[in-house]
Parts: sequence; structure tokens; C-alpha cells
Amino acid sequence: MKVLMKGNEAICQGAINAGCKAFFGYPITPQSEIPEYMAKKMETVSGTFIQAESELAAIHMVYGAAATGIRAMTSSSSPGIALKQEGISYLAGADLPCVVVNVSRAGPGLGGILPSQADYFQATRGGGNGDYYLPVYAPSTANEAYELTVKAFDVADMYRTPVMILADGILGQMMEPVEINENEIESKIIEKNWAANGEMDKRPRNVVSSIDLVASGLEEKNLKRFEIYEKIKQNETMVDNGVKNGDTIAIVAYGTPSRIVLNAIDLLKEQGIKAALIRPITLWPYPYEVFANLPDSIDNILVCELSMGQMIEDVKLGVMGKYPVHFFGRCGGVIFTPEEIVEKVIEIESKKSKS
Amino acid sequence: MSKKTYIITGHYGSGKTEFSLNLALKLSKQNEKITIADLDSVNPYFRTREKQDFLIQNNIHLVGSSLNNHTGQDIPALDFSFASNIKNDEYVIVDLGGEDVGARVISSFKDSLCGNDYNFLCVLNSFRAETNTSDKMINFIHKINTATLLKISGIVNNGHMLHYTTKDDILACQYEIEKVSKELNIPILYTQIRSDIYEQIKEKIISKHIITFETLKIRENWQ
Repeated sequence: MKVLMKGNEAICQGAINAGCKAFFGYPITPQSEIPEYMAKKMETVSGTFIQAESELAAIHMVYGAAATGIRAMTSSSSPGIALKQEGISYLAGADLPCVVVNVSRAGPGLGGILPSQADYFQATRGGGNGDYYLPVYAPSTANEAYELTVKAFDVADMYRTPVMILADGILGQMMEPVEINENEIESKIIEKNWAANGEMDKRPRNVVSSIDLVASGLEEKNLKRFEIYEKIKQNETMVDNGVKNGDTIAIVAYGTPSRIVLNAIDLLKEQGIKAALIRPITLWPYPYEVFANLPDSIDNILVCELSMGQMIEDVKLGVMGKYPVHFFGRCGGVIFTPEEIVEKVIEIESKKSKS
Repeated sequence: MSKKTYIITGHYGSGKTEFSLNLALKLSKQNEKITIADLDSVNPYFRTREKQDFLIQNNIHLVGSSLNNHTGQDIPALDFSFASNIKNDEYVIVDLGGEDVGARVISSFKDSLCGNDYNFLCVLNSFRAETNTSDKMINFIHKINTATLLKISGIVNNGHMLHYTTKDDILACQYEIEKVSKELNIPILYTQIRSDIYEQIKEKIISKHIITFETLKIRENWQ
């Protein structure tokens, strides 16, 4: 059944259909519809909704809920996610599965309420302490936000890791038709024999903690976690690669702005320029391999972000100097137009013909 | 005096703002003086005030926030001066925020703005989960009446799936809305419909007035 939903609502419905039973949040624009929706809906699925006293409280409530083995989620927007970093590091250190949603806005600091993608570093490099990564999903439509939220809960449980959904404010606020089919959801519920949910004198006590004061023990835990990270890289990397033989420029963009790029690509086609989109769906693990296998016809790479340029660093790591990597971005809440991207591509193409 | 005040309410995503803009445009083409008031204090994006330039081009006076119509504001600052500046010969279109929480604000303007003579229009879209049956629509109208202390006087059929709207979508929405109209004895005053779809199902539309449009105004035309 197709229904019209805001991206924020689609994320909630994905969480509920994946069996999320606990939500802890705090309002902040442009994600406030998430706690609003969960406040209404969690009761109907015998779940728990708590409006926490702060973002910090909310993420630590997620820690507590996740430690009991149930599926738990929190959401916020950029500066609120900054506040949650300590808790995210603790969750990673305790190998606790959960989903953290960032509907990002412009920064730094309080910034503004309009859309931005300047939290790429925060999401993929982490603001918390220690050696850890989170799988990060970047949906570009409300429908994909719904599907990836379901997936996020599965991946979190499968690898025992916090997972982030990074949506920009446009996606959070924008309404779109979403295909909701509850019967099609095959969320993989895994038995959690590590959960601290009452041993009832039938098994040894489970202790959930990120602390280990013995150096060799802590090192071993880190090494094991990085073995899991390798598995995540192998199994969970997702990218939408539209590059075909004959295309001369690959434009890399993620989230809603990738759709603006698609319009630019159509406009470029009318002018005889063959451009194609590479859209990373997971930002960690990053689809570096896609840049190793581009057709010979590609001369240039353009990265488009609603930021001063953050993902471009990963693109350069993937490209490894093989092609020139250009950048076009707007920030502060300004959204680029297809025409602006066309102009940038034409500038790149004209330099090519001179050289 | 004819009813020149139009207050527009509806659920998030019902299409209130598109309807407000299209209604204003239709009236402005008839050389009427129009003020459009954006009283949406709950939605951060996709508000009438984003279309300031478009409205100026079409001679439509915009009243938004008292803080210069900035689109990036996160504070419900409304321009209370507008109610006192309304002339009797002018049309006023008031675009309220979504749901009862967004509509409540109108009760504070009620005496100065409405008098006894106003159109209080409820925009309904059966593709929003909260108004997808006639029963839910009726509950929604009751909720709005309670929150605003006004009474919905007309229904707008705005059955839509944004760019993906089909003629069947509009007729499916009309089917639910007809039941609401009969049950509550409120007329279907407007149907908002893209012109090409209207041409296909003209004779099937039950509505006092029709508002047609070519493209969506609040939504960018991205893929």
C-alpha cells in the first residue's frame, strides 16, 4: 500500500515494522516529527517512548534498553548528535546494537535549521573516543529511508554494533509516496544470548560494559571488533553506480542532493555531455572499489555535497590519484540547483578541451 | 459583503500551502487585492513565506513572520499587525499550520479577522495515513473545530501523491470526501487538480469550484 509520508515518518514506520520497542528522544528541528510520531505509535505496539531530559540522557537510555536485548532507537539533528557522541562510543565499546538517526542541519554549533550534509565526518569518523566505526546509511528518498531503517536494525543485531541513519533535513521534511508492506518485512530477529535480561539462576550473569582495565584484554576486544568491521566491509557496502562506458564525468553525491544531481545529468545530456551519478548508500563502509573499476571513458570526478567538502576525502582515497577530483558544494542551509551543477561540469569540461 | 476571508486548514501533507497559493493566484488574475498570511508556526520547511518573490511578482501581499519572513526561523513568530491592517475590500487567505496544533493559532485572530463572514476550508488528502478514511476525516474536522473555536464551512478535495498523482487517486479521495460531506453537511467547495488530469475526468468531479494548476509550487521538481 502506498501512502504519503515525510521522510521522518518513513524512518519511524521502518523502525516500528522492524520491531523497535523503545524510543528515547528529544525535540530538535528538522527531526521533531520522529519523536512526535513515536510518541503516538510506540504505545500501539506495546513499546516504550520517553522524551528524555536531554540528548545525552536519551542515548544512555538507548544503552540501557539495548543491553536488555530489545531493539532501541534514538534520533536527533546535528548538534544533538554531537551531544550523543559519548554514548555512541560507549555503545560501540559495549558491542550494543541500536539505531541512531541524524536528520542533519547546517552547522557548526547551533547553526541553522535548514538542510546540510556537513555531518559526514561526524558520522563516518565519529566524535566519540576510541577505535570504532558505525555502519552509516544515507537514504535519498522517503521509501529508501523506510527500507534502510529496517535494514539498520538487522545489521545492528547481526554485527552487534550501533548503526546510524544519516538523512539530511530535506529528506526528513519532504513528503513522498512510500510503499509500506508489513508482510514483506523480513526482519531477522536474532537470539541475544549476551543480553542482560535476567539470568533466572539458569545461566551465568551477563555483564554489558565498555570498560576493561586489563590492557591485553581490551586489546583483544578491539581486535575482535575490527574483525567484525572487516566482515561489515565485505558484506554490507552499498552503492548505486550509474556509470556506463562512454560517460566522461562521474558525479559523486549521496542523500537527497544526489537527486538534484540526477536532474543536472539530464540537463547535461541535452548539451551532449555524458555524466553519470555514483551514489554511496553506505558512507561507512565506503564503496572505495567503485572508483577502481571505472570505464576508460571517465576523465573527471566531481563531488557534490551540501557542505564545504567532506565526503570528497573518501572519494580521493578511492580514486588514488587516478583522476582529477573536483568539488562543488553549498552550505549553511543553501541547496544547490541542477543549473549550478551543470555550470560546474561545463567549466570542468571546457578546461579539458584546452589541455 | 461577500465572504472574502479564506482560512485554510488540513493535515500535514494535505496540500494547504499549494492550495493557498493557487487560490491566491486565481483571485489575483481576477484583479482582486489579496493578502496571503502564512500562520504556519509548526512546519520548519515548505511554507508559503518561501515563495515571497513569486507572490510579489503576482501582486499578492505576503504576511509571514514579524522577523522579516526568514525561512530558516525556528521560532513561531507571527506578524500580529496583519489583522488590524485588513481592509474590507480585500481578500485574505490565511494558511494555517498542520493539524490541530497548527490551526489553534487562528483562535487568537478570530474577532479581528473573521467577523461572522468567513470561509473555513479543510483540505483533505486520503493518501495521508491520518485522513485515509471518511471516519478519520470526520474526526479530524471535529478536532480542528475544537482547537480553533471556528467551524469548517467547506471541504477541499486535494487527493494527491505529489508528482505521482493519478486520476484514480483523485476519485478515490473524492469517494471518501463525499461521505464526509453528507455526514457533516459541509459542501465540497473546491477540488484542486492538475490541469491535464482534470481534462480526463472533468465530468466525474463533484465540486462547486475547481482550482487547476500546471506544476507544484512548493516542491522542487527533482527526480
